[in-house]
Amino acid sequence: MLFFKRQLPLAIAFFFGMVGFFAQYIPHHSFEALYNELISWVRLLYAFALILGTYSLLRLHSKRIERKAPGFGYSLVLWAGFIATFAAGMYNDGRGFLAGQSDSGMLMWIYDYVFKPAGATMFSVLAFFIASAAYRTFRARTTAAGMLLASAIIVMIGRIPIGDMISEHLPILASWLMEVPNAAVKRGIFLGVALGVVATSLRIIFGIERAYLGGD
Amino acid sequence: MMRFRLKTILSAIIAASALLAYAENTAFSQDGPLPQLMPFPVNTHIEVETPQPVPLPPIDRLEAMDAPDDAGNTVILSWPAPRDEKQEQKYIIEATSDVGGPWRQVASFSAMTSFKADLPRVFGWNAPDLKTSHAIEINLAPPTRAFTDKLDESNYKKNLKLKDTLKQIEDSIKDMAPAEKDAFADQIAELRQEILELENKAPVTATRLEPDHHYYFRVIRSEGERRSPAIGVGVIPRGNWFDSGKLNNFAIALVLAGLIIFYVYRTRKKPDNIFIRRIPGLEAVEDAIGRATEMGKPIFFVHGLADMSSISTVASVNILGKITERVAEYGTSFKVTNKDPVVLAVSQETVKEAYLRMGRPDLYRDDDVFFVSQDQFSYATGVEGMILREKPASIFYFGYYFAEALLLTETGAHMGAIQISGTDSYTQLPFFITTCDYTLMGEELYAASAYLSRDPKLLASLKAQDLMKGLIIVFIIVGVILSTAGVDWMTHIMESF
Amino acid sequence: MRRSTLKKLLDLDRRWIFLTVLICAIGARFVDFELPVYPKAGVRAMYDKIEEVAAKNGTIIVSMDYDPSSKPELEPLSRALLRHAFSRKVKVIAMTHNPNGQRLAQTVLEETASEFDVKYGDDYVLLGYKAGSGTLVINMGQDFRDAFSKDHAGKDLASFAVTRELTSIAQIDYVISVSASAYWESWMIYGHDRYGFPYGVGVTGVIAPDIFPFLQTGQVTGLVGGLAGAAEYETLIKKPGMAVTGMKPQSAIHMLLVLFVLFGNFVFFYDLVLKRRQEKGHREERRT
Repeated sequence: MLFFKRQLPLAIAFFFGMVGFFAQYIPHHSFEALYNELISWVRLLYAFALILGTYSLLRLHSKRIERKAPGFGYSLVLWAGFIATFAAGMYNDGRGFLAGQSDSGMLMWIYDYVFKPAGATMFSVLAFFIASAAYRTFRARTTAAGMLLASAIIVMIGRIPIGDMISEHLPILASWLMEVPNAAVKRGIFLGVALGVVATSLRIIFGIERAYLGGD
Repeated sequence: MMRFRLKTILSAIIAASALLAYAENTAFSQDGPLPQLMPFPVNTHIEVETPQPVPLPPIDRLEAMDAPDDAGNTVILSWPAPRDEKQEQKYIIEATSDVGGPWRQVASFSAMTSFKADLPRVFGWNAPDLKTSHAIEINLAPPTRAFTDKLDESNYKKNLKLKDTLKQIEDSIKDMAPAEKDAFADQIAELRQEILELENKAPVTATRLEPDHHYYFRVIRSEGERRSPAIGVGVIPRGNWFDSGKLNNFAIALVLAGLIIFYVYRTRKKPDNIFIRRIPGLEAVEDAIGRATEMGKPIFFVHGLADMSSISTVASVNILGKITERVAEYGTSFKVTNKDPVVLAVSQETVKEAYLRMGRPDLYRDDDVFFVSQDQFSYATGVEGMILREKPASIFYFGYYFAEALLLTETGAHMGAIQISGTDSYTQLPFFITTCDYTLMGEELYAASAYLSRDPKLLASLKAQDLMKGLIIVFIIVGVILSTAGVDWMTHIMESF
Repeated sequence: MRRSTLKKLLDLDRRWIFLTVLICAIGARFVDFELPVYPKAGVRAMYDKIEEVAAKNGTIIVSMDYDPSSKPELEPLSRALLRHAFSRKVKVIAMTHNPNGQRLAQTVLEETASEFDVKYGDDYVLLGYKAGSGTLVINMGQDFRDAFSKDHAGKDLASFAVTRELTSIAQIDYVISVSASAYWESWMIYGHDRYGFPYGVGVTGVIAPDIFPFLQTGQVTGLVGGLAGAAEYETLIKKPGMAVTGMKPQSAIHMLLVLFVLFGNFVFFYDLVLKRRQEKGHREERRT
């Protein structure tokens, strides 16, 4: 049993990891073909996993409706939304679900007039949340926080026309902050992240890191 | 004696592989009877054109080579730029798989562009003719021309196969007596006819370059109506087993891998106490769980948007396992939200195993680790709604986030939850820092698994990682100094292709 | 002020904040006030470059590489650029790398062209969308007519004055990518670096900091970042449009944010002072 729960997954991780690693360095067409084959397996895996996800979501909400848990009305909305969208997708503007995706009809209507505006609304809520977060948390508690606060204010004002009204040096200072210290920090974090990614990948390939299998 | 022999064998192997590598990269002329330079006659239809404009002089010294470091669909043509070159002139490059044609245009470019200098990985940075010789990469990997349907693709394959058969037959009867050759005449004629028919349906003639097949190229100069005679050359494109342009990258990867293996091995032999810097965010995990238990409220673990192929997701699944173990000690309600179905499956398994390890399999319920939505803002809205309704006392955010980060954390902060986050998406870091109590930045996220488990092997790999970082810093400093001083060999060593 | 009042202010219900943001954003649209817009160096460089092209009667490529989601931030710049070019009789070749961008590009082009005395084919051409991004750019450099033999409507490029003589993008006097994602990089790596044409970029405010290093190295000539950059461009061509109008709410919200932060800090520190004073009072009480 341990073979299926430990050795085999580790061997698979090692094999696929190595193929992925060497695919970066071996341009040969036969290796390329092998790599493309593996990539298409991954895509296939995802298609099945999506069914799993949908099942998980729908089961959770049916249980809520059964138990009449607080807020179960939302679960009803979810089911209704799922059924309507699924039906529209299957109907496919009269072409049936075997034909290619139609670019008109009910599904597209849902996409254009429900999905897109809802997404846009959520995106614009960000402006309000930024204001609230800035008010509540941006405090000069320490010297470092104070410096951060000062730079934030300079950049915020320096990038709009009012900055020029206050002083012609303000926009220049704002640009400097963005181009020099900000870019330097970004690069530093990026290098660390890149190195971390490589090291973690190697740990997984060599089987040193195996917590993702559900245990040490 | 024995040692000597071993050495001889080794040298022989090295010499043989070097020769093989050389042969693999050399042009067609070196391994076939065809001459390297083959002047081809001017295309007939140009000759009959009346009135005929004065032809341009042809190019000189055309060379073809198999492109190094490729899959086997690329060749490189080069020739010295003629002195009388003008901006309005053009080079037309045609190709065929048969010496007799038909020729097909595969590329063209304006004069005064496309020099050897544009292909430093092939011609280097110092050759004297970098700016005076034209060079062009002809990459015809399948499918460059869209095949209209499956039928064409299968006809193409069939055509290719027939051409190979024809070539084999012709090669094998080359040395036979004329009478014996005649016996094959019908078969050959039949094959040719079939090829011709297929050629109309799905032409093989240089619509793409297949590895290990013969191809012929010719270059014609043109300026308005004026043309030059065509100059031709033959070459076989070959696939390569190593991309030498990525040698630097490969070397760095090997050094890092070597360091990790070395330190892990050393720790296994004598496990010494490896120091690891305190990460306050991870220290606070215990408090966050304790607080939720005291308040009798649930704990949320919110996955980021990336899928399982992203390292940040792997790191967060590792952390999820460790957090679940702590949660199991207290028996607090624990919920995990997922955006990706594969991450969902892995998370369910991780949580189940962690409960099992702590002897509390009864705490696990499938519905506590659930899928919300695959769409970014639907996911954000769904999780926000749950935070508002269930009022968790503690929320963990680990993984890769986009614009939804602030939407989630600000809602959590509004509900008064203790929030601990870890992400490597640096555009979202400012939002996490302002709204969460603790934030793991960048690589701290990857180190978290080692930190929480204190597994000597994992800690050892962190040490290797730090050493590598030190090396990179040294390289940057030395590189900046050299580059400032105008010495650019180090820049070229580090160049990526 | 008492500490309890301060506490209330510190924990202000966020709905008040939301309401203030909303009022500010809408209010700024209706209140009439003038904002002086001063063009920054990157924006001025793009303007000057187009003037330079105009002086030699040259041709530019405007690649509108964005889709509907980033249209509000980037379209004002496209409009201003086209207005500038048309007013100075610079020939324009428009195109897009973004599959969802063709409809947007066409609308802007037609609308701005109708404001000037310019003719399709003689003064401007729309190539439309073609897949490939980086490889397309290389192709346009090697053989322009191989990459694009027809315009968006399927007419032969040889029939237009703008494109008749064109064989490579190396002949173009200035290329500008108005981009919402990584398309600007394709133009730089596969275009500018290979074929050497002058290259300018217009991007969303979030992407702009990524381009500063290339502005410093000279790989990019002219950088317009976000709506603020577009407003600066509109000011340069003396034709204020959507971007300048948009500066009002944007400035108002930025200032509001700054005020929120300053006010939050003031209350925080005032509370700290009061707390210290209270503690001091307690200690003195105990002593007496």
